[in-house]
Amino acid sequence: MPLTVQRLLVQRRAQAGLLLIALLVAGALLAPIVSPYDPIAQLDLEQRQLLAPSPAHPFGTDLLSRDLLSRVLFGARISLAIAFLSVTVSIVVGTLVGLVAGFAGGALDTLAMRAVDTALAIPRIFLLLVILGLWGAVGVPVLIVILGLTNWFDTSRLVRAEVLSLKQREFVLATRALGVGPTRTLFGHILPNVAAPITVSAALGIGQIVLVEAGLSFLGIGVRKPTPSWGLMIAESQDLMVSAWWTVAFPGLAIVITVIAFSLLGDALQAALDPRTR
Amino acid sequence: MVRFLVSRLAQAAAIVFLVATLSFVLIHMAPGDPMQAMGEWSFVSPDVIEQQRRLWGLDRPLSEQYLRYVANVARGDLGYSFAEHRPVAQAIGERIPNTLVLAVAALVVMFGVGIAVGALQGARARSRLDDALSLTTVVLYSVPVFWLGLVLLLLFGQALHWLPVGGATDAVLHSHLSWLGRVGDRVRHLILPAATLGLVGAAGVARYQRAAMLEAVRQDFVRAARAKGLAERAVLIRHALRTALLPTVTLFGLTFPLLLSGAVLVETVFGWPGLGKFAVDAIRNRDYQVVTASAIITAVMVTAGNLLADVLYRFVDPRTRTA
Repeated sequence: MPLTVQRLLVQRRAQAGLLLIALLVAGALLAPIVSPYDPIAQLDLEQRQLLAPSPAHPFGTDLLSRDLLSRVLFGARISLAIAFLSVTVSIVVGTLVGLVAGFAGGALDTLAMRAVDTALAIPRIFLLLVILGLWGAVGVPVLIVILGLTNWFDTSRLVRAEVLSLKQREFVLATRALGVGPTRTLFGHILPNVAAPITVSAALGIGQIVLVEAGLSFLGIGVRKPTPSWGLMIAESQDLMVSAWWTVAFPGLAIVITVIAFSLLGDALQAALDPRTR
Repeated sequence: MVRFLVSRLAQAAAIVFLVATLSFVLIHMAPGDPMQAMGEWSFVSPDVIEQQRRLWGLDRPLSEQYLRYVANVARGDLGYSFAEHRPVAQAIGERIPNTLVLAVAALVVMFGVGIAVGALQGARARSRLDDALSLTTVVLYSVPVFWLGLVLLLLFGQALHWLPVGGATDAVLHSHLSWLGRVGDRVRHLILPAATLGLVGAAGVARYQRAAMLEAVRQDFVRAARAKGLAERAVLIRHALRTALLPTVTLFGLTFPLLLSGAVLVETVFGWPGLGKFAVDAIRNRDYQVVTASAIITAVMVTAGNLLADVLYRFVDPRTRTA
């Protein structure tokens, strides 16, 4: 593993990605301390509406006179929390399904993979539209679970494919010859060998889920008002774009930077774990 | 080939059947029933709601409801749109061509730009141009499609006034234009949404194409082509790129779900009267049968797209035909 870490850290894109992620996480964690204002407070509807960026409001203010820098910082909290937690859900579920389906084979495998094929046939946003539409307004915790449970399909395929090839390897035969039970073989011997592709898929998955959450919030069915979510902020301000560009520009840039950071890290991880892709 | 097609068609039908089943399960797992929204309007009496429930068979046992639902979907009856007061199939049918036009135009941008950029990068690997294009594709790949749409709208629609800011046609002038003028009007309205949707996808294609090209230029047959004295251009395009296109064709099938997901956001930003915007509006109107029907329809489109991609792949790669 240390060799992999070394291979990761020598890459410029890994350094850039990790630096950006560190800044974002710091901004998210320290938001209550470093934010100049309360992100939800309407500071002064008469005097401070739609102020252009200035030393007092580096990112300007929105239509309700709220400070955009504070909202973007608190937005990082929401977006990153949703992304980390829902990717954790999807990685755990996807890994379990993939491990069991690949290892057990037979009818169970067929059943699981047909279910995955079905779910993948519906474009993700439509699947989420159906679920979120039918369930109505949901809170952030439920949103995290829904995003996690609609995002594990690719991971399970990836893990299953790895398990299928690992199953044929001699060390698995050796564990069986030594009398190791199937559960221990699966989790003690096969799982560690699948860890690498799972890690890459998680890093890339975080960036993608930030995009999905932003899109849903933009459509008004993700994070609800007045919680500062980047996608929601853009939706609220899109009609003002012409007269107050900053209301749309800064939340958008925050999304772009977050996704770039995780894409860079994911690419670098892939290269570090599989030198052939260089 | 016929046998392959029949088996793939059967698989596609099975997937669509399972998608319909999944949406039935989701509908019934959700709180309330399709008539609940009516109850929220104070002027609808409980008797009417009860009558509607009976009319739509919601008082029947679940197994019977399921059979009825599947039979309806199979016959193309996707329910009733309460917001538009007409069958969902009819209302959706009007939107599908718009979404297809947008998706096809975006597909052209996506693969046209993506293959060109990726091939160029692969051919000039690790040059300054390659680095600059790599950075561009990473950025484009990370941009939320709706935000890119807004930025392009602001730039080319609001600031430069080059292109219209929304809709599929000019609301006032379209019906007064000549035949050619109407086509021009439609094309002008299509450019921004298609470019938005296409460029985001192009970034992904370019990354893929670059890797494939990098692999191809290393091969012996490329060296052989150079050795026989062919022009560099011919070596790269006729020999290297032609082989490197093969992996990209497999991407073709994978892009449909992404394209349709992106279309939801792009249609919303540009007011494009397609399936995605219809589904989003339906959520706001609590017109749920439209939402579930649009999921089924997009699943059919994705499955058909995958089938098309498989056939295309067999066509371009002779090795798969005998297998």
